[in-house]
Amino acid sequence: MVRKLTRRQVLHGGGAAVLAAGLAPFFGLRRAGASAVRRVLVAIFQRGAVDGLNMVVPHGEPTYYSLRPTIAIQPPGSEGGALDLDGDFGLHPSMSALLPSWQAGELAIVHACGSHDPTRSHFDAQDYMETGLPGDGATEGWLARHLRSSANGGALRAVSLTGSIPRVLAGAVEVYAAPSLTDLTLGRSTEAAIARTALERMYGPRSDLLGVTVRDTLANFDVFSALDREVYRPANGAVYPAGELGTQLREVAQVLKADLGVEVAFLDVEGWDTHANQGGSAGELANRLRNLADALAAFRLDLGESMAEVSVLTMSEFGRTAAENGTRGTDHGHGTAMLLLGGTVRGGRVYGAWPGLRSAELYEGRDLAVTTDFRSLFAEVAVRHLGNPDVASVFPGFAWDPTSRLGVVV
Amino acid sequence: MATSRRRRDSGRFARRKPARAPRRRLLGMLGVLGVLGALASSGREAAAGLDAAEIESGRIVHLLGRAAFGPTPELVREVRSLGRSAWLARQIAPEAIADPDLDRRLARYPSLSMDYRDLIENYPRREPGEPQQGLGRPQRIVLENQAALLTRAVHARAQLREVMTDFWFNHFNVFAAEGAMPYLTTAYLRDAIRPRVFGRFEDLLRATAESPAMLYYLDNRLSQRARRGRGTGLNENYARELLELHTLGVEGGYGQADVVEVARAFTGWTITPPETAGPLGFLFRALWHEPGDKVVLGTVVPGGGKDEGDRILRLLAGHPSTARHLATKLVTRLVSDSPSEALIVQARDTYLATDGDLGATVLSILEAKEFYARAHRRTKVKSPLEAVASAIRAAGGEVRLGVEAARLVGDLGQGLLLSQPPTGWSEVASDIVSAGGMVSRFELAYRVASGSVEGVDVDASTWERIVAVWGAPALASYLLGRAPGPDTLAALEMARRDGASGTLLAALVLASPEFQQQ
Repeated sequence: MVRKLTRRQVLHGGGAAVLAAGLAPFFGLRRAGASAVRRVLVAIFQRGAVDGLNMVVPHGEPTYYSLRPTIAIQPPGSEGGALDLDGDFGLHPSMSALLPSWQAGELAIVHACGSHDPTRSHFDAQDYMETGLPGDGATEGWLARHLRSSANGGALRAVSLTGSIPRVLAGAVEVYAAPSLTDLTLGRSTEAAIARTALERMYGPRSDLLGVTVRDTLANFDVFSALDREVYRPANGAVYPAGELGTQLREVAQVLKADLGVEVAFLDVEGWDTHANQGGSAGELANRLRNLADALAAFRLDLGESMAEVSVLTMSEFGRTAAENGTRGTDHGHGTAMLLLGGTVRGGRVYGAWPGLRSAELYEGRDLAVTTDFRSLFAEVAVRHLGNPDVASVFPGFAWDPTSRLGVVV
Repeated sequence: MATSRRRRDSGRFARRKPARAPRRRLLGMLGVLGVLGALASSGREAAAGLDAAEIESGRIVHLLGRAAFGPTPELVREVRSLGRSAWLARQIAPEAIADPDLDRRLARYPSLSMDYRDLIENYPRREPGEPQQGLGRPQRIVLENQAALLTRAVHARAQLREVMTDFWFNHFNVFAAEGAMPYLTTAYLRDAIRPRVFGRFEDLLRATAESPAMLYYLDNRLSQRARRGRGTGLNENYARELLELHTLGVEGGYGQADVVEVARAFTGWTITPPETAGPLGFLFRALWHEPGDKVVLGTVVPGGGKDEGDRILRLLAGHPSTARHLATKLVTRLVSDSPSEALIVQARDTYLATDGDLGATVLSILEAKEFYARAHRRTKVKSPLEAVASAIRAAGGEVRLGVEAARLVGDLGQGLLLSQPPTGWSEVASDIVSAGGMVSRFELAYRVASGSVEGVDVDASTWERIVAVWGAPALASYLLGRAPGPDTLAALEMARRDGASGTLLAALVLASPEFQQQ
């Protein structure tokens, strides 16, 4: 009802003018009070537990092929074989769009990564990964704690392209959550200004969740409504794949280029719970991996040189059984692989100790073991990429040791 | 489908039909306005001296926000004349509630009464000359299912059955838009869930366990014993969610070994192959079944084919962890996002004492004194389905065709029948409320108030007349079923002074925090 609201109440001073004039040079426009360089993290949660062993294939490990007679990705050089990375590991063949990033040293992989908590419940494990506190009933997210401990006065520091604020950002105040950031047109009514004033009057005095959310909505409304998804043209000929992830990453690129002060973008991508008929080099999982890789590659191309300050981190709550199950799929497992893409990444390497896939090497005799606690990776990203000054408050109870860090971020 | 919340191609299905004259409720509402107008004008200062009728009115509105998809003036009158307990007693025996108007509305969706084979082979029927399209257009079946759910939520006289159908579908969630699921979800809702929401939990649990929809969605149809050296043959998906989500709860005291044993016991629970003659449905394939005893939660389940699964379902349905898990979810849905231990214990004990009687368990919550406690009033944020249905109900809307209205539920973030993970949609406010979602709620409010939801008739001329005669506060009381708070009143009066139309004022009431909560 409040479509095309007046723009007089833009919170982010000057933002609307910049937006109205088109896209500001990415990060070229320094905001008052902002530090020299603003780093950005784009975090993508693969909900449902991605099969890390078929995403990043341990083709040098013969046991992999005996455990997965029908769904294994064949070695490099074979028909539909893995795309070799380092002689031991290969990318799933549908992820070829990421090879240039790997070759350019911008893409790193951390394998056998995950949580030491034994749960195989999607929902507990997702919570643990988002709070950064495995086994704990905490409700606050680690990215929320990151934002708090690196406060810089920005009002809109995180966006989440989700239907509600995800656990990973729960507790943060500088976050805006919506499945689409730019498709935000409110009512066409000429009464829009009246409506807005009334909504502010109704919700303004409330301190509850509704009040806070609506104030946030109205405050950010002008900023986002000035971004028109229809007119955005990705740079460098980047073409995002069809589907929600591509659409949302395109919006993230648009928002980042508009220089609104956003430092964290969070996205969900569903459908990784491949219990049956997951396929091998082709099939259901292959299609999802292709979509992910194509979307990431388009994002990188679109951002161009700005990618120097941006990192994309993928995560998933756990991995899947090392062996395929009786229905040509995989059940809930333990360790998995995570990707880190960006200009500050020391890429072209697979990180983490490889635990092996022989029976005695498997976690509880069935799953890829976890040799890298996910918090080692996340903490390094928070400190080395985002510049967080107080990592102990981001991951309480986890002793991150900078001297023995992975080294995945420059 | 789950992910395309914004637009869908409704094609011929959503083509606008000639509109019937909108229902006029103005005369009927004037009597109600007499009471509510007085309530509104007296404001908060009257709170100390509410008379008995007003206190009862408040309780009824509270009850109808939880045991129904929101109050309507007609329903408030009905409950007042029957008494709350008598109304509830009728609601938990819904087979006795004749509802020819609802039947007439649902007759628009032919797929609702079809069996699997009809749906797969004959629906939607091709027009003469139309090219063959494989299995047909299954999206239409999902749209009809969604539209029917929305229509029922708005119009059904057996409101509590619809509330509980929504609850139990969500508890035993399946995702309607993947693979064969469009063909399987109609019967799942119609035959497995809706008839059992006030019966024994074990019966509902078994109906879901044997339903083609669940067997398909959680892959158990494929799970079988190892043969000819083909790996394990097991698929743990159903077994794990049976324990974690459907019965014991994640803290319910089971381990990975239990998951595997339960999966072994359910090997062979599958679906008749579509190519065989005769009706499609549940099939136990003895050849696929893993023989031998199983040990679940320390109990030996003797090897016995399908009987093993049946025994396990009985064991789980009667387990104290299940009672507590279900009680917690029910109290969260019906009373509070932070459910009180006392109410949980009471519901759990009722469940255990009645052999899992769901009607009795729900009644123990809705008839508890604590249900009406001040701390629980107007504290739950409406779910997307509740928000859409209650707005149409408040506005006196007639759902002629529910496709577009059902789509709006998805716009608010919880597409009907479209939760992909097996948890279903969350019930608590922190998962429901977001900035983008509030924008969608405001837009919904305007579209309902202005009568611009396709397929839903609302007489938008009513609002200006009410405001002109009775004032903005009376309009708010009419739409809310109670007086609004001072901030909303001030906002409405300010908007009226600035020239807001009756329609905009009605939209603002539906957008108000009072309306977003129940």
